[in-house]
Amino acid sequence: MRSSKECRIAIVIDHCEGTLSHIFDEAMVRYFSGLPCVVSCYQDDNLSSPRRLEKLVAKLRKGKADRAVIVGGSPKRYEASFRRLDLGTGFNPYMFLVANVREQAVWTIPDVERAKEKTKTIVAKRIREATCLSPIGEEKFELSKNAIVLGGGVVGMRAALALADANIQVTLLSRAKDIGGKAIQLTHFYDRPGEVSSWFKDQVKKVKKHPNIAVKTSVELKGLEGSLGDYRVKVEDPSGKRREVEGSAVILAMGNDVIPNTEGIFGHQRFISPPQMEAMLADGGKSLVTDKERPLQTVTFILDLVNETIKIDSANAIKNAILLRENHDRAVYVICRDVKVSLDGMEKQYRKAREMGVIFIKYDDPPKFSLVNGQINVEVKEVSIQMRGDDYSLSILSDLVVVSERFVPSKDNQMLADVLGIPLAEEGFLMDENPQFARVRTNRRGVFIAGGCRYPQTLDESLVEAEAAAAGVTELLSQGFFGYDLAVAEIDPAKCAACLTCPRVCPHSAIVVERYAEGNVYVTGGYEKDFRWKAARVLPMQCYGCGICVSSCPTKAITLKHLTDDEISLQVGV
Amino acid sequence: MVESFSPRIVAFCCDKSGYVAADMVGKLRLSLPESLDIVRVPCAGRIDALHLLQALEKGADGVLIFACHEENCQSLTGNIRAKARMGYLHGIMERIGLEKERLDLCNLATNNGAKFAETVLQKFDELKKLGPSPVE
Repeated sequence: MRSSKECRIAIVIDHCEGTLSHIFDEAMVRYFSGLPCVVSCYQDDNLSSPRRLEKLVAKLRKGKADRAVIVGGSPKRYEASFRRLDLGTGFNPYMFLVANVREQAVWTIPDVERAKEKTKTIVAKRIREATCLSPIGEEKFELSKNAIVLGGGVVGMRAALALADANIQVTLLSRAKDIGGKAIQLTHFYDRPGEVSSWFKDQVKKVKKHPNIAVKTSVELKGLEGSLGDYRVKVEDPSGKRREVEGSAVILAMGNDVIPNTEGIFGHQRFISPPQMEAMLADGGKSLVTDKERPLQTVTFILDLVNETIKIDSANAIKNAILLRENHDRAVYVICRDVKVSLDGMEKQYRKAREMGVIFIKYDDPPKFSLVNGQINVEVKEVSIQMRGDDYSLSILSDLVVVSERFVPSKDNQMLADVLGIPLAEEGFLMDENPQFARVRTNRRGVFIAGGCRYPQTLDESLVEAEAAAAGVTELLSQGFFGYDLAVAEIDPAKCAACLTCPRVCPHSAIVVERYAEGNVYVTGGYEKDFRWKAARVLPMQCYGCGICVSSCPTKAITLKHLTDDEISLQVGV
Repeated sequence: MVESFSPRIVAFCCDKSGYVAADMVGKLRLSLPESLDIVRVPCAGRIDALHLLQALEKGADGVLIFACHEENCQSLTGNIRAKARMGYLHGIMERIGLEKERLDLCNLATNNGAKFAETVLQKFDELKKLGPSPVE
C-alpha cells in the first residue's frame, strides 16, 4: 500500500442520465472534496460511453490525478469501457474504482436524505480502498494459426472444414482407418429430405481435398499437454511410433462410444439396434422380410430402457417410424417413458407420425418381453390405464423390436480430463464451461469440445456445436496474438512452500509447479521447457482471476492483483 | 436501545451471480437495509475464512455469502469451497461464543434480485431478534 499522502484521487460524479442528479447537490460535492487525498471533483454524465471516458481521462491527466473514483451506477456498466481505454492515454484501467451508489443506495433506499447518508459512507469507503490501487499491465504473445482437431467423425470434419475455410492450418487426427465415424450409419435426416450418405461422402471429399487440412488416420491418442498457443498432442501410430502434433488450439470431437444391448432375450435376432434398423431402411426395404420371405409386419421401438436423458433415440424412432409407415406400410409402435421432441421441427414430426398411425405407448414399469411362435410379445402397462386403476397390460406381438444402444463416454475422456484438468460431468462426459453461455468451451483456454464427447446429441445439434467450436478457435487465432491483462493471481516465490495446494484447487489449470522427479504425478500441463521454478507459478494467460487459490494458500503467498486482501479488509470495515 | 438497533450486515457477493442480483434489487426498486455493506468478489471461492472473521471482528452483526447455485459455478468449485469454509467457521464461532446464524450462505442466480432482497431482509429480522454482536 502506498502511503495515503502520495495518492491523488479524483472523484468523478456520474449522473447516470440525470437519474442521480437529485442526490448530488452542492453539499454532497463539498463533502466529497473534503475527503482525504481527494484533489479534484468532476461532474459528468453517462460515463459508460467510451468517448466520454476518454475525454474524462484527458481531464484527469491535466488535473494530475493518478486514480479516480467514479460515483455512479454499477461497475458492470463501466467495465467494458475501461477495457477499451487505450493504454496510450497513460491512465491505467485498473486505477478506476466505482462506487455503486445508484444500485446500493439511491434505488434501494427510498428516503432521499438517508440515501444521501449511505452514498457518503459508500464513497468514503471507496476512497480508502482507492489508496490501495496499483496499475496492472497487459501482455500479449504470438499465436500461430494452426489448430488440432481430435476425432475424425462428422463433427471433427465439420469443425476442420470451418477452420480451414478461415485460413487456419488444421491437423485432423482420427483413430479409425478412415475418417467418417459413425454418421454413415444414418440413412435419413430427421428434419429435412435428402439422404445422409451423399451429403456424407461430399463432406469426406471436401476434407480430403482441402489444402489447409492434414488428415492423420489410424493414430492412437496418448496424451495432450501445453497451454494456449502451444498445445502438443502425443499420438502413436500402429507401428508403435510416437510423434507430437502441435497446434495453438485444440478441438476435442472424439464422439461417444455405444454399447449394444444384447443381454438375455435382447440377444435374439428379432431384437435389432437402431443402426441395424437404419441399414434395413437404406436398401429400400428389401431386408424388411423374414428368412421365409414373409414381410415383417409389426415393428416396435422400445425407448428409455437406457439413455433416458438423451433425445437421440426419440428423434431416430420417430424418423424411422414415419419412414416405415410412409414407404413400407408397416404397423409401428413406439413404447417409451416420454416422447422427447425438444428439437427443431420435432413436434411437427411427432404430430405427423401420430397422424400416419404410429401408436405411441407410455410406460412407467419397463415392458416385459417373451418369445411367442418366433415373434416377440411385448407386454406393457400403459400409463393412463394404470392411472385409472385397471390392472391389465397391452400385449403387442411384434416381428421386429428395435432396442436402443447405450451411449457411454469415450474411453479417452478420462485420460483427457486427467491430463488437461477438464472436469468430467456426471456420466463421464467432458464438461463445458457453462451450459448456458459457453457450451463448447472448456475451463482451459484454447480447448474446445463439440459433439458426443460433450454429450450425445442428434447429428444436427452436434454439427452446430462443431461450427461453434470452430468459430471459437477462429476468434482466438484470427488476430495472430493473444492479449491479456495481468489482473490475475501472483505467487510470491519467497513465501511458497510448494505444497501443491494451488495447482490442485485451480479450476483452470493455470498454476504449475516444477517437476521434482520424473515420477511426480502432480505436475500439470503447460510448464516451460528448460525453466525451473522453486515455487508454484501462475500462467497469466490461463488464469481467469477467480481467486480460489488465494484463499486456499496456507502460506498466503498468493495475491490477486485486482482484489488484494487489503482491499477486502478495507471494504468489510465500518 | 433495542428499538433503534439496526444490525449491520456484510454481504460478500460473487461477481457472477450475487453482485448482479444485488444490482437487480436496485433495478426492481426493492428496498434494502441501509446497514448492508456489499463486498464484490470475483468468485465465492475468493472469500477467505479470515475475511469472514474480519467482518465479524470489525463490527458486523451478520455476514452473508451470495454464491452461484451448486454445480453452476464458473470456477467449478468456488461455491462449494465457500460452503466448506462456512462450515469450518461455524465450528470456530461456536467455540468463541458467537451464534451460528450470524454467518450464512445463499445460492442464487443472476436474475434472483427478489431472492437477494428477501434473504437480506430475513437475515435482518433474525439478527434484530438475536441482538447486537457480542464482539467488541
